[in-house]
Amino acid sequence: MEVDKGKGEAEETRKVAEADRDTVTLKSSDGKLFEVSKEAAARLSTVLAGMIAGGSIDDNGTDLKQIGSEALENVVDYCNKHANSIPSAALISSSISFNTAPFKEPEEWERKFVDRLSHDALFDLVEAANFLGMERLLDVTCHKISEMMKGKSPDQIREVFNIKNDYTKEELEEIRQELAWAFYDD
Amino acid sequence: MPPSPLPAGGAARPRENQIARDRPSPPRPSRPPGSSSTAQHGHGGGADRPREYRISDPRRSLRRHAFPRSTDPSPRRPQGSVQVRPTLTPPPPLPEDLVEEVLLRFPPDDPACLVRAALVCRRWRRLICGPRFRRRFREFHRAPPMLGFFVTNLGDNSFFVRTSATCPRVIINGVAVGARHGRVLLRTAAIPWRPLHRLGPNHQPEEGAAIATCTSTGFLPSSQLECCCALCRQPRRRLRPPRLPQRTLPRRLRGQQQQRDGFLCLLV
Repeated sequence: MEVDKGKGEAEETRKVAEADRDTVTLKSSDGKLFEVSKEAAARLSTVLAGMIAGGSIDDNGTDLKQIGSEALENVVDYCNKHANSIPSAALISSSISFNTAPFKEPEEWERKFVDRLSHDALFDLVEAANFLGMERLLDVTCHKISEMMKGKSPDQIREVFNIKNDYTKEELEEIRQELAWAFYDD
Repeated sequence: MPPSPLPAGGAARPRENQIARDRPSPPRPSRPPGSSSTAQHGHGGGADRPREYRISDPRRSLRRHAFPRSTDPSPRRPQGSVQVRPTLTPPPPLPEDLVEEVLLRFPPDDPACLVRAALVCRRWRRLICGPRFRRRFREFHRAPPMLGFFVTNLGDNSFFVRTSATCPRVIINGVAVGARHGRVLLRTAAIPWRPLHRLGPNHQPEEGAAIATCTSTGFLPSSQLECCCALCRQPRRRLRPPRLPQRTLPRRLRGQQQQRDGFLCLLV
């Protein structure tokens, strides 16, 4: 019996070790390596899923030249946190399958995840999510940015997002008069 | 690296397809660092952009009448809930496809948000007013929100009841006869309310039957939006009083559309 038990334990450790190896290594534009579980990567990112299915994953680090290390760290962080958040897993897989699935409000942990990001990091993360085809992460980050715009006047939006105003004063004034109900700053 | 195939069920959106296909030579060049980024923004429009919409319109006084400035400021105060951390170098602007993704997630029951975003720059307005964005906005949010409805009492003029704080006040002088697909049929001697309509310069209202279209994105300053006002020569054949979902109505108004001469019209 003791021997059997020992065998079982050994088997278990081996399985755990195998599961540990079941990761993909991603390399950021500045050469930093990050590991993320293969299952989470395939589930959350259509691009990574395609690469895993196509066997184009490099064991020494798959090059993601578009993504900086900070953004990739956030992506990996998101994948890991997502793997721990069991209830949302079903939700995510369904939102990937149907591109017209209605938008689901971000969950509490997702809100916290994007709230702690700086402005630059958030923008980089949106681009990374778009590049990797991560629907849910794109949802959450874009939702956060749209919340940042909510309640702001065009001037404030321009300031925050560093956008040049290419309207003439007359045009702006005309539209403002036309649609005065949409502005509460004047 | 060989081009990576996509999973069968996963990549339904064209955007994803393109990302995967273009992986060896990605579609967007990496951004230039901070300061030079404003230069590439702004007049980014090429020949493929939709033609610019001229804003000046001799009939704008009508529209000003249609949307009088609200005197009730309470629901429209800035939220101020989101604090943006100040950064030393201003962030580079988002690429256009990501701006679209962000704008898509604006709440549909708050049309003022999209109006203000359209005033940020011409590029954004072209984006918001374009047919592609409108289609995606509808698909993204599925069921259109109820911004308000018309109430018609026996023989009186109809009046508009807002159910969304940022919906413009709509003042009509006439009787709402019916509504369908977001269009409201008004019976009136003249057409006093013509929101953003684009009738021909020689147009004269006949019979006083007008259909006004108001969607959640319908109050933007562009003729490209679904906000045309058209004459309906045979209104009764084409439009019937709508059947309203009872659940969406306030309790005191339920069942009113069954009244003989008074019914409600949805504005969606």
